[in-house]
Formats: sequence, structure tokens, C-alpha cells
Amino acid sequence: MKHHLNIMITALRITMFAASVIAIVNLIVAISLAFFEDASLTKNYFDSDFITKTNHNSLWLSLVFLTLYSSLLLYAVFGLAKFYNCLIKIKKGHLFYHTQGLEFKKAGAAIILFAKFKYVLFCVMGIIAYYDISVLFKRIPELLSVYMIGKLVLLLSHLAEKGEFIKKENELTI
Amino acid sequence: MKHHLNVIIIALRVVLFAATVVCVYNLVRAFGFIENTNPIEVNKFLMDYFTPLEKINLNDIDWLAARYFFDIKWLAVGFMLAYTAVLIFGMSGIIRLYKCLLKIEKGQMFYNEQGIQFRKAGATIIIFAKLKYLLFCLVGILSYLDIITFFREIPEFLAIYLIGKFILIMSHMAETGEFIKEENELTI
Repeated sequence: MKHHLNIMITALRITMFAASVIAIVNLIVAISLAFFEDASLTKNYFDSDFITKTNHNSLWLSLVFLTLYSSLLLYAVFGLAKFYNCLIKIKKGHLFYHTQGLEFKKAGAAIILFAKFKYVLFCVMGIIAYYDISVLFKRIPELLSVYMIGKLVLLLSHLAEKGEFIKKENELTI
Repeated sequence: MKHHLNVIIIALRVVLFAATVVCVYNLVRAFGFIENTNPIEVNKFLMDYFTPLEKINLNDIDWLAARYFFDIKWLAVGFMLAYTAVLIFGMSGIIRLYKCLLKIEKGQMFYNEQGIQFRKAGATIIIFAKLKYLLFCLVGILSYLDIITFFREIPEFLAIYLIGKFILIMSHMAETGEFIKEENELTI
């Protein structure tokens, strides 16, 4: 079992690290945009995310987007950290301890909220800044996959809550 | 909780339906290719999945990494049949998971063999991810020396593999829960 847990823990570490790096890069880009005040830079940066055909590059809109996206990523890291802590405790042998279910539930809710907010943020940015409607469909697979992972974590929380209850009942009976 | 379970169950149904459709499509294409000797169609079909290392002449049946060994037509047919078999294997794991979730929805938590069922489902999904990755890499190399497939398939492989691992963690929790429940019943 420890082998599976170790793999999940390593994957979570890499994900958290990658998300933190992206958040920091976005913040640095936002600061440099504000410093240079060059709207054309925003177009180059968003080329991979949106179809930036129009020359309508709003500097302030991009700044708000980058800041919001960074904070959203940091929120996701916070949710993943909760999940990570739970797995570390399971690895140490603490299964069905008090508040384990609650922690899993918080982690799952954070992941689902991240998926929804990210989708909304990208759609709003794509439509308002570049009139790109295709982003509405392009972002759906990512939304669904992250959303389903969140739901699986919530299912885990349900298992943990039931386990906690039976364990407590067991201790009381003894 | 039922709401979350329902969402996962519906998602599993959609995945099962989509996998069935892909299987049927693959089989139809495979049987079509057995009677078809047009290399352009076979090449076009394979190029939906793989990218040739260099530009190829669609009409040239000899342009292949495996040209010395067998016909591209049979490679396409073999690929389709193997892909269908791998998909059916993956579906068996998903059906197992689906049945477990249906029982949880009905309120049967930590019943006997729940942990084993989860473990089998997780193991099947992990093996499916590995087999699919290997199959795509192998056929990519044999058909067009497509080395990029090795990297292109990695995100999908990792995603399915980690979902499998996640289900294995669930199986561990279910097994521990079963044990405590049994202990509880014996104490009473």
C-alpha cells in the first residue's frame, strides 16, 4: 500500500510545485506588464490560451486576469496541500482519525471550486478581451477532469467519515 | 453525499458508453480494412493517430518502418483489434468500480469484499493505462517511426494511472473499514 501512497504523494508534490511556479510566473508577468505599460505584450503572452486575432489588448484587463489566475492557483495549492497532509497521515498509519473526513471534504471542495472558477475566468477573459467564443468549448475537458477528481476526493471523504463513525462506535463498545 | 455519487456514476456511464462506441467503430474499421486494399485510406486512417517522422507518399504502401516484415493493412487491422481488446479490458475495470459505487449509493458501506473489488478496479485501470501507452508507442514506431508518440501519450497515461492509484488508496480505506466493522460486530 505504501508504494501507491508514495506515488500519489510524489505526484501531488510535483503538481503543487508546478502550480506555485505558474502562479509566481504569472505574477512576475503582471508586474512587468504594469511596469512597461505595453499592451502588445499581453497579446504575445495570451497567444497559447486564446485566439488573439483582434488588436484589442487591454492592459488592465490582462493585469486583473493574471492576478486572479495566480490567486486561484494558490487556492488550488492550498486545497492540494490539505489532501497531501491527509495522505501523509494515512502513510504514517493514522487511518480514520478524528476530522479526516472533514479534511478530505475541504480538499475536494477546493479542487471543484478551482475547476469552476478557472473555467469561468478563462471564458470571461477570452470573450471580453479577444471575443474568442471557442474558449467556452476548449476548456471543457480540463474543467470536467479536474471536477471529477474533486468528486472522487469527496467520495473518499464519505468513506473516511463512515470509517470514523464505525471506529468511534467500536471504541465506545469496547 | 448522494449528489456526488450520482455525478460520478453518471460520468462512469458516459465513459462506458463512449468506450463502447469507440470499440464498435474500431471493429467496423478493422473489418473494412480486411477487404480494402487501398493504401491511401489505410495511411490516412493511421495518420489520425500518428504523425510520420518525415513526409510520406500516401499512395506508397512500401513507405514504412516495418515495410520489410508485413503489410501496413494488417498493421492497421491488428492495431484496431488490439485497441478494442485493451478498451474492453479497461471497461471491465470501470464496470467493477461502477458496481461498487452503486452499492455505496444503496447504503452498503464496508461490506465484505468491497476492498478487493476496489483493488481489482484500480489494478485494471492501471494495467489499461500501461497497455494503451505501450500499444500506441509500438504501433507509432512500427508504422511511421513516430517517436513523438512516446511523449504525446504521457499526459493521458499519467492521468489514467493516477486515477487507478487513487482507487487503490480507496481500496485500502475500504479494507481497513471492513476490518473495523467486522471487529465491531464480533465485539457486540
